Amino acid sequence: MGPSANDRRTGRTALFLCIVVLTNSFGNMLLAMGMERMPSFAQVGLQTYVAGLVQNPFVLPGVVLAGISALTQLSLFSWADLSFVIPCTASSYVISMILAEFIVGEQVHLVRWAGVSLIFVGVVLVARTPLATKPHAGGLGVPVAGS
Amino acid sequence: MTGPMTWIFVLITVCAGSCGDVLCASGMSQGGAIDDFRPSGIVRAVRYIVTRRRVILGGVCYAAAFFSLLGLLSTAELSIAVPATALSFVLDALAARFILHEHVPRKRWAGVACVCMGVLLVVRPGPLPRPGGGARATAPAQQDRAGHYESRAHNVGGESASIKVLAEP
Repeated sequence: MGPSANDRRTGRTALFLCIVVLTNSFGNMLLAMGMERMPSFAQVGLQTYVAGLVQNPFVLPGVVLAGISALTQLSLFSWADLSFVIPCTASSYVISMILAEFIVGEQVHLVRWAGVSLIFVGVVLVARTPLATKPHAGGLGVPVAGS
Repeated sequence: MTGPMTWIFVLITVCAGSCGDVLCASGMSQGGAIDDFRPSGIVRAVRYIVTRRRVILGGVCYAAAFFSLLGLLSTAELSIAVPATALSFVLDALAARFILHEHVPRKRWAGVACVCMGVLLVVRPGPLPRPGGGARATAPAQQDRAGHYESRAHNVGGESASIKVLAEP
């Protein structure tokens, strides 16, 4: 006998959350680098703006990563609560902050580090609650954790 | 000036994002857990995703939220507008409780509150905390119009971005 279905699902949830968070953070870093090269929407109008988006070398890879992130999050929804998944994905702020400080080289202000610490505490709290609090149809046959 | 467009963008970003989350979560929980990650299983999962009406509607909502976010990020009024999107975490938890009927444990509510407050702190633009604190800081736009309005907005309504917004020349 290998690990129980419950262990497997817990491990898979952690792995999938990591994928969501990492693809989201890196995708957003690319999108941010792309958006820095964009003019203001209000000034240039829709057509020029959309043309600028398509020609931008960072936007497309950013969108691809965002797509992977979205698909992974959808599969999480197939076995875990919305109110579990969404707060946990907030750990992408922690990654974004680390990227900003150590890769982009921005000086991250103390208040933001305090915010990131709060987010971390919040994610830990949420992660210590059961994955699913109501029946999800079918699947691995894991009984719904009630306690 | 905080134009009405800014608030329309905020409203659309937050509400459309949460609608998308609820629709997708509801659609995905109907079909059983995805637990086959061989290529054939992934194809089946993708086919399930693109044919499920709620998930498609959710995707439309995400798209609306995404483009509205792009619009929001291109306005010069980020210092109130962007922190307002931290509310999407609370909105999601409320929707999960009252629309999806999840039994949200107390510990999870506490976690959501921490995350929301943390996000408020993280997305506040500018180098220094505002006097009086809180997200509802007033008069954010006394920026030199001719200069750069520099702002960092992280993970807004599920997307995060770090941008430099050019104010009007």
